[in-house]
Amino acid sequence: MNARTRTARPLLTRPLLTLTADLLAAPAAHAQTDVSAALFAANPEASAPGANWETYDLLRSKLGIDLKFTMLPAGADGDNKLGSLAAANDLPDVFEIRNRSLFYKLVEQGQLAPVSSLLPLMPGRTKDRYSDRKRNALVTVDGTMYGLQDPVTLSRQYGIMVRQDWLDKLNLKAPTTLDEFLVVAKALTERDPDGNGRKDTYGYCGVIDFDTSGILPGLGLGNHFQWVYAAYGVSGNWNYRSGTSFAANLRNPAYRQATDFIRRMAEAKVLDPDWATMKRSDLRNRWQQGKCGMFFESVGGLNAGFANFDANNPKGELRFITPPKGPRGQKGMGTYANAGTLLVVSSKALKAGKGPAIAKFLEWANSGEGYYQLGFGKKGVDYTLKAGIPTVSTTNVNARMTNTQMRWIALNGKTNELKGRYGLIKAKDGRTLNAYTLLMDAHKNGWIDRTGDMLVPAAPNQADIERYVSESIVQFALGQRPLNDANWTAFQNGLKGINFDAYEREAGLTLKKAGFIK
Amino acid sequence: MTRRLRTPDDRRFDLLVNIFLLTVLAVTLIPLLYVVTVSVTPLGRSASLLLPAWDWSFNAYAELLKQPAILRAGLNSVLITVSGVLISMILTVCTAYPLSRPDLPGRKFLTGVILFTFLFNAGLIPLYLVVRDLHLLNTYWALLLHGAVSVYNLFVMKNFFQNLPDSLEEAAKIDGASELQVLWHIVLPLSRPILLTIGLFYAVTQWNSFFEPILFLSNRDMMPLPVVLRDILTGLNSADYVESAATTTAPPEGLKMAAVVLTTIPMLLIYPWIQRYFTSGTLSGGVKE
Repeated sequence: MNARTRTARPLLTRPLLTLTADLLAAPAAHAQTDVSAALFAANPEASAPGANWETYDLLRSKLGIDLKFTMLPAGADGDNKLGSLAAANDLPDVFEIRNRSLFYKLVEQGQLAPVSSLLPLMPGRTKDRYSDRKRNALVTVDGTMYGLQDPVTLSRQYGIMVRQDWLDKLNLKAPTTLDEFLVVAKALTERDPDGNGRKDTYGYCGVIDFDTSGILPGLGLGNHFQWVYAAYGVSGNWNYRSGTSFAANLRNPAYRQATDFIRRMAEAKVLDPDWATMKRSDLRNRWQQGKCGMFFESVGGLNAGFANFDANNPKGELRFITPPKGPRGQKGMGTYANAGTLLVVSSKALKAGKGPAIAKFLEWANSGEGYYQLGFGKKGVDYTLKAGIPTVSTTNVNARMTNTQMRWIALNGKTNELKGRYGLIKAKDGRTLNAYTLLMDAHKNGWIDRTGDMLVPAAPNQADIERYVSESIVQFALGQRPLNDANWTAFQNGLKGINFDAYEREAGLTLKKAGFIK
Repeated sequence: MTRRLRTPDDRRFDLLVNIFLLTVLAVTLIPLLYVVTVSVTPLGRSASLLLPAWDWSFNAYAELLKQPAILRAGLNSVLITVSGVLISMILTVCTAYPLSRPDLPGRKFLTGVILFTFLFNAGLIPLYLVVRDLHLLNTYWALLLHGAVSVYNLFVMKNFFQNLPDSLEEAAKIDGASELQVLWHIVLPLSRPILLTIGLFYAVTQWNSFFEPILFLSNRDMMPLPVVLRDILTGLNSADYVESAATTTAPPEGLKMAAVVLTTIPMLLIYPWIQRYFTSGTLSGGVKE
């Protein structure tokens, strides 16, 4: 038997078997609507739910929906997969998009359905998630809404963490201003806070990082240094001032002053010498090994790396500090976007009359049974409700992670949910850190809402713009290029060569049109 | 056989070659060693290239192997690789041998048609449409049949077959062997080096296949090891909230490196076993003319 025959056999037998099964099956209690959903995996390291997933049964019996859920691979591979499906006119009925360029491309191709007609069919979800005019503007093209843009459920969980045990040992107080920050960072670098007799610690560890999980990327040095720019009132890309004065922050003289402060930090050798080339994972290695007096990290990152940190630093104490104030009293940890999961519906699905079923499913996922089922898994097994707080079980982690692969369409970031998800971080000696309290501390750090930035269309040469700005600022910060009037003017003039003016103008017009600036 | 006298120039040349090869070895081996040492670094130790063996910890491997996703993906990869190599080798041999025969009618035309597919690629979307319309989506056939025959490997094999002496085949024919018997009893045993080499190429390609599974498979439980491995690494490097499962008895970096080691071990084990066949000279003494 040749390969072709062997291939053909399942192709012929499968439809026959399906037909036989259909004929033998008992008639359904009510008609089922097939709905295919594709989301990025909430827990990429865990398996997908199997055919016997309890959620499938619930949806079939309670809503008459036969759901087929597939997990999209993380990052650009997921985008490529969606792109291929779109090209083959094979998009799922409802799916998640994380790449806004892809969203606009699919709208342009007519692959995405207008979703306004679904909103009245899911009143609870619409009230909770899709009633913010400005957020809806993120998914509105030519007056038509093509996406369901959830608010962010998990952002602003970053901050500057400090080794409190080292501060105590050196008899220092946590810094509250930029000048104090430099003094403390110097002490944490030069005064051997770990007591090992070697000069192997750094005052501040941060990397050039443009992670977008709730924190907006910016031109320049990224999230880990945004607090410096916030201290000078120029965090984020745009100044959001109304009227004709709208401009990119890097036009502001204060932007140069902020860059100069980072240069002073580098010059004082309080930064890890590899800061300009390190990745986030390198930074995590450094603080876990006890090399960093202060460092930029998220509560989640702290939770994941705490066991290693605790093993290296049995007496190590960590806490967030408030962002240091600048010369004019300004401060902030950075910018964030209040935009989380973006769901879209394919035109094909709406034409096939699946809109009401999709709305029914999303409404079910918004609160009550569906919310807990998707967000926390099987009640009594994966989680228990204690005083309204879902407390997850730690005994069957893999099963729970599989059962909650669709959780991003359910979670809402409300207090009880966060308390349930952010538990205690335990050290070996019995000390505990309350992750929820840490998160609340991080939230208080004066974050600036820059949701509108997500609307700004990418310039045709966006990569060139970002590279030019980032490389120039790194050169200034590292002292490779003296930060003087002539060089700063040359840097500003260089923006013309990459058509930055047009990008800036377009940003202003877009933000004004969407109501983010007056 | 007389031994040639080695001049000082020869010795200098040998020394330079050896230094160069040692440098190449160091450049390839040191990163590999570092990956291994990081993977066995216990919690609370800084990773270094020379981590003493008594400090090794295999917690990272234990943590990974505990995950059902990894084990399933490993089995999937083995299944895809074994069946992929079998299918590819059968198809390649069955195509290369006839093409190597000068008496095959339309040989030039067939070679040209095959070469055309090598030079001009239709691209991703037509491929996806073909796979979809053959109802192969979400089946392993999509991975096994797509690219089952590599044109490059096919021509390498064809040229090898062409270089076999005609006298062998003639002798077999005189003894009454059919074409199939000639292939099975004469050509294939003499072609072991090329079969193993091409087989290894196919095995490595299938073992490392990453984008095709992502494109053609929707069922995560069917995904091979590289895809699941990448997802694990993505999860570990994510800035989002990491579930308590991520708080392990091994450093996060160790987990990553252990995943890399687990993925490369099978190929590393197979290679030395096959490498001894990468030598020519298996024909010596096979023909008496």
